[in-house]
Amino acid sequence: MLARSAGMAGRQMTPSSNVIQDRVAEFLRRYPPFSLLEPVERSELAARVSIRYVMAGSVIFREGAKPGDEFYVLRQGSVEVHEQGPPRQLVDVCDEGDVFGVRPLIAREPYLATAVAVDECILYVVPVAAAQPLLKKNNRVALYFAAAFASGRPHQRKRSGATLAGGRLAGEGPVPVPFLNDTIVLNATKKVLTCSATETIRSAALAMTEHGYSSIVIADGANAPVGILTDRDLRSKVVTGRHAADEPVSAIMSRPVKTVRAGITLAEAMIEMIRQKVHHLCVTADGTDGSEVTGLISDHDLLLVQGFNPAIMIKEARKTSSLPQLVAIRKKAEELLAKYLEQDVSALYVAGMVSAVTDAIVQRLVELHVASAGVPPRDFAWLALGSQGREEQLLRTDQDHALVYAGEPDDDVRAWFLRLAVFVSDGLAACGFSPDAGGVSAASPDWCRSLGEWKETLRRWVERPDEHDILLATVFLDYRPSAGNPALARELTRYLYEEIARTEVFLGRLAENALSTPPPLSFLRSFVVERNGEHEDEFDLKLRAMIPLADAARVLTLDHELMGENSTIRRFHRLAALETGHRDLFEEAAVAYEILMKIRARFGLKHRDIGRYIDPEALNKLDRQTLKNIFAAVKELQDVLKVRFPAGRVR
Amino acid sequence: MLHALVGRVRASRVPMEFKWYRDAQPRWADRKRLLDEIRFVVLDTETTGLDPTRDRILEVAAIGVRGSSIAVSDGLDLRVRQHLTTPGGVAFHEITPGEAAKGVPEEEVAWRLLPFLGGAVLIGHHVAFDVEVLDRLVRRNLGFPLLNRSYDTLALARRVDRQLGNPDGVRPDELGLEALCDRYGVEIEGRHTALGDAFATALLFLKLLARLKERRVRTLGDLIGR
Repeated sequence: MLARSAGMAGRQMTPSSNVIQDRVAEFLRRYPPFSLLEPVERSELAARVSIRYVMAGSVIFREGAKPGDEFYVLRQGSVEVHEQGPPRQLVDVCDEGDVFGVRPLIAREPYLATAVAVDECILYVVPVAAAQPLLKKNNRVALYFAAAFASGRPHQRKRSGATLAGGRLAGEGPVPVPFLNDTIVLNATKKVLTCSATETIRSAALAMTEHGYSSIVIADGANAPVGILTDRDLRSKVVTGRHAADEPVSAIMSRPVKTVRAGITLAEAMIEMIRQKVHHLCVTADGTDGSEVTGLISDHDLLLVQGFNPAIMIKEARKTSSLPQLVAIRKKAEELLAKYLEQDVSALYVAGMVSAVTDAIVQRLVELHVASAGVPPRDFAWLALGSQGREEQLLRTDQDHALVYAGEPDDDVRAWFLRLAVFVSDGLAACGFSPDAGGVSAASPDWCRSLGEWKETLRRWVERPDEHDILLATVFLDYRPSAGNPALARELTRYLYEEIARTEVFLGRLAENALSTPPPLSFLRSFVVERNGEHEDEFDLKLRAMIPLADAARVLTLDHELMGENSTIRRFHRLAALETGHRDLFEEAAVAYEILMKIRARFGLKHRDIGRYIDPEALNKLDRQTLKNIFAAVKELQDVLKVRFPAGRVR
Repeated sequence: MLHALVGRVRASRVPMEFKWYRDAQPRWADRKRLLDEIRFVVLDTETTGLDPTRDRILEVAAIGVRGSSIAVSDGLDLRVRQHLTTPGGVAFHEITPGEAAKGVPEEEVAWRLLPFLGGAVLIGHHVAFDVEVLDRLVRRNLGFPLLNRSYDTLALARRVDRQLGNPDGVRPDELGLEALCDRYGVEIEGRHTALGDAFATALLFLKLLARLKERRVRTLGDLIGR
């Protein structure tokens, strides 16, 4: 890599990135919470990491010792965390990618357990000062620490405090702040909207809309709660026509309100909600409905605190030897996905998690095969392609994968890897991923090749692409190594950029392909209105809006040689940072793609299909307007591509 | 050890503007300093060939190591400008004459390298070679020698083997960088790039040093002698 770019002739390693930093960042990218960071944040964090070697048997930190100003990510080896006792008690075993010793991140108090290297270890040592701003800035990262804390193993966390335990959330946002205490205390700091019982439904709804709240508490003269009104009530009681908007809120509010005292724990709040069958708990000064309202806890808040815990799911996936359990884990991921969509959590975040779970399943399937079939004859990398390669697969759509093995092509070696691929592919099919209709599968000899053969294929695509090649390239080029040795994939990428740099044809053809599907113009009643005025009664969300965006992002990313950036959303963010002239457009495209992912997942879950085809009539007003804006952004983006890759250059 | 002598070259030849560099070098009293407090710099160079009297540096990478840790940001990686008539060693390092012409001029390399090295003890695999080509580069451009002390990971590996009680149990072919990395479980990413090799060497150094530390090699004096 170093030998390629003249721009890299000389540099001090900071602040611009270097290969070691990239390597650290690349490793961190694979594990939460670092997987949740923006690439730039991760890269900056990586620059402040130091890499430490400890011998087997060494103590990394000791129970009762004052914490330093650092915590650890295990790069290689394994670490045991135990309490001195007596009796001496093992509280955690850390594996590659695990974060441990986060005590200093939370409290300047002594370690509650001792960490010992079981075998020799390489640690990434992260300064607390480098991580703290990310916790403050990035709610999702803070949430990860909080979530792991909440739904993990509270007993252990409470007592050891040394493993991945709760961090403090930033003060903003709708998420209550869990404290690291003996129990998780829900801190309902969120402001509460209140109104009197005589207000009209309309004015209450206006107040909710204006402040962006989904609920309002109806209070008496002393500001004690008498009822609560939520979006749900408005939907079921007003929009349906059962009540008029000018009736008083008292006509439709839910009451009595369930009240709790301040400082109840997560567990207590959950039990209370389940027992009372309510979605909101009102926090009052003394915990009864006779005192002043001080806060509100919703089931949404609890869900966020509790978290969709990918770490646990991934750990489960890594350990199990049973296919049915892998199937169950993937199913669970989808259930949580549905909940998250309902709660409007960022699609990028959710997709990252879902992809990580799928990756873990692939990795485990590979391990299971190796356990029975023996050591692979060569180094190899399992490449996730298409949407899974882009880490955007929310629903279980079809499988797209390929395999690259090191060294020269060899029939026996290929046969071995084809057997592996059949095993993995069957496992994925059992998990609900249907085989690719076009035969894009590592289990097919066309997609299971040696590094040299892949290079040859890439070279052919790049030099003399025909139409079919371009289509294959759009599937293949989003490859991401999800199991095996990622170095092979990097080598392929390095080669690809070299080849692309030698010719202008390829990017031109890719751009041409990205322009082949112009977005529609608008919706009219039950039809999609095309730019030429034609009406269509079926809307292919994927083809008409998502693929054009993903294609455009891919071409521009390749043009900028943004190695290893696969997600369409993150690609647009990166592009926005690079090209200030088009910053707004690229940011808009990123948002658009995120919205499209959500719409697709929502429809897919609802209809139990892949969410691709949408009946325009099923779209509400907001969706239609949003999509219309998105079409405009896609059009603008395509215009940019047209200018950058003029057709004349292609032919 | 020839390169250990480099540190004893008459200091008076160093001009005033590089006095800080001379003063940064370890002194007699520093032999008692604990290894954990010493800054090491792991070096690797890519050159046009293997003759230090003739061949030139194309790339130099240096990675700081202190207290069993490599700080990701404590490093330097410079492509050196050379005007080559033949593409020496291009099969190894993949630096073509055209690319070599785009590098940083030698004099600038020297100016940037010395502040980075400071008083660090230089570490490398066959470090004598890297030290010699760098010494020649510094002399050529600044008129005085490279003053840093150095220690070879090869010697370190031999010493660890000796300490483990197999004085001649190791064949010479097991002491190459790749063989040693293999033995000690270090993955080399980017073989024959200066930075890739330097990083692997740095990890190897940490592993070897940890083994020596267990055997009462605690101070700078214990490691490099006087």
